[in-house]
Amino acid sequence: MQKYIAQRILLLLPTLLLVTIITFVGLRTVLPADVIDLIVGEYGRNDPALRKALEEELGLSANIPEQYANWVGLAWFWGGPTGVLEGNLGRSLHSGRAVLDEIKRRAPVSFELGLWAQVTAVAVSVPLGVWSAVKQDQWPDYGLRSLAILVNALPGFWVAVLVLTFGSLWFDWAPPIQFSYLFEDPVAHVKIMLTPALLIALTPGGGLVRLVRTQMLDVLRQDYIRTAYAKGLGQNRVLYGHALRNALIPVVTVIGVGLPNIIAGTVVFEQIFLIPGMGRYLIDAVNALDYPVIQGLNLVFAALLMVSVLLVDISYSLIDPRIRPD
Amino acid sequence: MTFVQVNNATEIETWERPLEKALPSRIASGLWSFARKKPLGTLCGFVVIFFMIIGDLVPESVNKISTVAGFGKPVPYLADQLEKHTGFLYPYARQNLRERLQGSSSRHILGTDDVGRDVLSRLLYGARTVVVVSFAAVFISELVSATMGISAAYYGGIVDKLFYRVVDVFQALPGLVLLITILGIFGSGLWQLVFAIGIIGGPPASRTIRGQAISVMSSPFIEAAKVVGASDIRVMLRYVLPNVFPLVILSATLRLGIVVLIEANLSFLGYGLPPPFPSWGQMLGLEGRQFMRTQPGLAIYPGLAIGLLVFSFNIFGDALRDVLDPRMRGQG
Repeated sequence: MQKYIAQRILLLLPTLLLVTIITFVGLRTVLPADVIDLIVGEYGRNDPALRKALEEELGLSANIPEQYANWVGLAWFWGGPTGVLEGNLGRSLHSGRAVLDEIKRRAPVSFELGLWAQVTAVAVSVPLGVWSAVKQDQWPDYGLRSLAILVNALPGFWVAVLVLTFGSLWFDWAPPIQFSYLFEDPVAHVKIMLTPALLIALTPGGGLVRLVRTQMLDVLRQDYIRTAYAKGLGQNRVLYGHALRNALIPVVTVIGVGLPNIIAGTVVFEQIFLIPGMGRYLIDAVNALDYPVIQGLNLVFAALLMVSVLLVDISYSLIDPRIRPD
Repeated sequence: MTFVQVNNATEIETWERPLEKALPSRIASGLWSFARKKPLGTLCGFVVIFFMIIGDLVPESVNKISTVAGFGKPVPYLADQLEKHTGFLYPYARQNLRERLQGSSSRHILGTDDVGRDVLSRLLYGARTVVVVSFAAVFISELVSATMGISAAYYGGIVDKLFYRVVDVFQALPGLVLLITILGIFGSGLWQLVFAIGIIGGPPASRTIRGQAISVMSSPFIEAAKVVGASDIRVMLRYVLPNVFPLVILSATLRLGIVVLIEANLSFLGYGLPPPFPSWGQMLGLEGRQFMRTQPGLAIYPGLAIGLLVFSFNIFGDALRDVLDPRMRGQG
């Protein structure tokens, strides 16, 4: 097991390297001129000397491989500036703040939102899926399945738009505009986070209900379930002790595969509900062509996703001792 | 031994006779049995075809190709014809500030928006964005994934390992984040949307195709083809591709609904087609939120359209999967 984990972590490195190359080269081959135009435009005069100075200051005068080495922090080994490897993601072109500090401030908010959404999705849809399987081909089953298919087809942001429009029309309700952090004002914080978290949970939740149902139906037909009933175990004991655990493996996979959806959900919903997380940081940065921020965020998002997928893979063997990865 | 083989051969020959019917009648009977087995899937298939027609998929693609190739007269759009010959449709960008934020009436069936544009007309033209982007992007995805999957299975070794790394990278990139980055920086437009969404979706989908192609590669007819001296390309196109093609069609159908949602999300955030050309996601966008209180239809109709199209794609895809690939029945 340790060997497997070590192997997987080693495999992360080339993938991350490729991600940095793709984002860097992709951004750098088109961007620099535009960004300098944007900043020069703010000064209001087209001055070649200023342009030159800016290029120098922003580290854009070197050629692309050199810039890449500077950004990743390879150059540090032969005396250059610090980079990603040394924990320096650069500074925002516009605000001048360190990207890493900004991410450290915003990541907990996004992470919390995503976590709430994921936990809600699992906590609600797993019991519903089990119920749907137990009541196979009766009305709760039909109702839940139709609902799940419907929820899967609706874009999450539309549900949000409906909630906001009709919430204000009928109940005079609107989400708070001022964001408050968890440790400053817990009640106001929960008020802000609750609605978006529930709405993000809808999309993955619909898929999970259907998956848990089919997996449970498969497992419930197995012999050992009949044995469990025959030796006198109660319904709940059989369902949750014996059946669900065996039905969960593909579900864990889907949770892992569904992580990009959760991330996408946080990006969209942070924009709708004005939550200062990483998604809004990204959109602001993209609109301002703030490329150190864009690169940093893409790298962080990718790393986050890879680590979560790894954790999901490792958790297989915790759920099912028969799976020995080697 | 010899006897058994001869016997097998005759058996196979008599067995294959019925399949030799003409192609049109085979397709017709296949469709008929699909319709009988999957009534809801068939209905959803018709809804998809309806959207393809009102979304002007055929005229738009013919025109795009003929402008690139530089020949021919443009094919007329159905939406333009409808607008000309019916009384209740208007050009998508025509503003009429005197009639802004109206409810539904005989002049504006679904009402008007904040600058007095007719909502129904904008929905009609928005269908073109959604349909063209989703079909073109999925076409590119499948082209990429079929190429990658088949060549990884065919060449094996280093090619396989390299492609697997690429797939890993693409799976590690959070799709929407990357799309926002690309479209925000390169600027958005029809081609950018199509290629960005298409290429990002390609590599992850190649996994299933690779798996199927590997099992096809071990069949005797591949070896036979190689022995006869067929080139690599010919073996892949003539013998491997037809055997993985149902899988390609399947993953394309299942992907269409996802792409519609991606496009809607992007245009909702402002990275879709630039205005004034309408798209459904953009009609729900944040700038219009204050007007939705006075005219709630603005918040309802575009979302309903997206939901109906995605629902139809999903149900049709599920039905197709049940028929084409019984092993995956009921999953997901």
